Amino acid sequence: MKTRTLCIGLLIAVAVGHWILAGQMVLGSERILQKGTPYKFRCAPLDPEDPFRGKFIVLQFDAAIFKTDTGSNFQTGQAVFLLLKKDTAGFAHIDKVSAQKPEGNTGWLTTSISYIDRNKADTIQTLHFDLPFTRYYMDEFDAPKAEKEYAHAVTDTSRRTWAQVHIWQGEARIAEVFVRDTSLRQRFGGSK
Amino acid sequence: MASSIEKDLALMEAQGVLNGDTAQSIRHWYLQRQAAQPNRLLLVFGVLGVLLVITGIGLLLAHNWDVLSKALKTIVAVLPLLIGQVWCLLTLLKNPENELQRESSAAWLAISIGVCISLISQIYHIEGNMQGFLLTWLLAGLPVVYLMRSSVAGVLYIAGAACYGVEAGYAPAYRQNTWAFWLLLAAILPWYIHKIRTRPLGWLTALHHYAVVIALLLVLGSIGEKPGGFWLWAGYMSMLGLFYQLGNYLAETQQLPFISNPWRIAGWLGSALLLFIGSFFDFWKDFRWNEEGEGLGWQSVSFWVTVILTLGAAANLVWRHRTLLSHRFDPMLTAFLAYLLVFLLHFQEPGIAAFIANLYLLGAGVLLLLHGQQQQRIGILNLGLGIIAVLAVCRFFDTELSFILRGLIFITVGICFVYFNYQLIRRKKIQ
Repeated sequence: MKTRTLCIGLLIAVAVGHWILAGQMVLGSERILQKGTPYKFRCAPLDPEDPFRGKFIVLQFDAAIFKTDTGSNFQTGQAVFLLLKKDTAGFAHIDKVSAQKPEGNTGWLTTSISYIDRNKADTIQTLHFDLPFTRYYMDEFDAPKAEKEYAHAVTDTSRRTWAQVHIWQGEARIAEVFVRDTSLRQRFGGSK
Repeated sequence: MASSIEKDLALMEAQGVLNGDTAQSIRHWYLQRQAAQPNRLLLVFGVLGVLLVITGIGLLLAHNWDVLSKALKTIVAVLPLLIGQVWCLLTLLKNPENELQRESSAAWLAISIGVCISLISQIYHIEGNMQGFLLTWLLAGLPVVYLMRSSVAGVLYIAGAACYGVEAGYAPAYRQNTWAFWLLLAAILPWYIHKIRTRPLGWLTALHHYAVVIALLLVLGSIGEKPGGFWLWAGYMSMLGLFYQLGNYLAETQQLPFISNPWRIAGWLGSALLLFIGSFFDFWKDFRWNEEGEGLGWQSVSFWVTVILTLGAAANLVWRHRTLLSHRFDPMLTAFLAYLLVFLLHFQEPGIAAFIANLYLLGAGVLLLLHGQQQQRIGILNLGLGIIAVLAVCRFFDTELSFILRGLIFITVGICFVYFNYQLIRRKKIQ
């Protein structure tokens, strides 16, 4: 009887643990979307060889690379902080890459270096980052149409394809993807 | 009671082999045994049904219904989790001894944890990676195994841990994790041992055996690195030696049937396979060529893991088979020691290494053949002949042997197959 009561008590505690886990994911994301600073990240053309993976759109961004001199001591896989700035058109770019966590709640993003390219003279290195907002999930039947639309739009020279991303304390959440300045969800129906 | 047994009982009664009272006692014994065992089919299909339903619900929700608001989608995403938790709680309160309820509710809850995490990630476009997702799911699901005493949740956990071990262990260096899997496996060990002690012959216990064996075989290789990763060939052989010893122990102490004993199956087959691979000279020649420039890797994790596994297998062999000489010699028990010798020799003399592997396999085949003949066990006799035949086939691919020699070997093996089997069957018939 005592063992059964203990098991029931522990099961309730575990259930509370599950809710805390789910709650952290939901409330954490909501906090980033509500309190975070919105940034516009311009989308880059996709590698046409990439197959369509699942019912989401794979996003790539101009801001996913940063050139620096080879004197800076960065390694593949290293966790870094990207300090962001906005250009005259309001699009986000990387201003600086730092190994130290910056101060303040906004203006910087936590990520890691996926790989490093060096030029022939070995004077400049290009850092490529794993940005934490490369997937945009949509309705299963709308996603293929949206993906085609998106893939076509990113090659548009006027470059009006971008993602609105909210950033708070280094974490990011995608709010919306815009193709030719129109929200993908509005273009294909459905609510927020 | 099976209808065949009932028919036989009726026939024996009619022919006067059994009297009415004895036949009735036998019928009563079977009925009692059936009542004591849970209805296995009901359990299998019940749990399978639950797993399919919860997975189907997860897929349905993954459609990502854009007509729903984010808040509503979130509520729908956590609903399966809530249902699972309430179901488990009610089971513990009202039907704690009902195995079908415990297994079904625990299976539902175990899967719904993963469904909930996935769907919330989808709603909020949370990036994450497979490693982090699996680890979170496993840690959240582990208590369900113990609290609900659920074997299905236990097997799912071990399978999940194996997936994590492969995903994290074989990842690129900067996000590789080769140690967390072993902690995850250690966490389920008390449950696994409890299953072996309480239901040693249960089919769910057998599933646990298979899950653990496959997990270990898949994940051990992830600790290999340069330099030194090549030591894991010997490491795997020692681990297979330990598997075989454990399999024999379970077979002897619990009368575990062959098909429910993957430790023995994997240990025997894996040891034989590695020896067969090691019987090719070209294998060791190329092995050395790949190693050169790598160094001997004395300080590598692979080397020390191999040392520990080999010492463990040797110590257990000596301890469990202290009166080895009085027992029939089982060549597969010491196969890992022979392989260690072959492996150490290959550094200097790959030709001699391959020769010793061939010699050991031939000896093993002959020993099994003689033992099968002596004990009049066709299975063991043919196992011995099978080893010799496979050895002959392997040598067929060795280009150094002439066609004449290969032909003679094949004819000899074929004649042996026919002769020994015929002799054994004839002797059995006479007896």
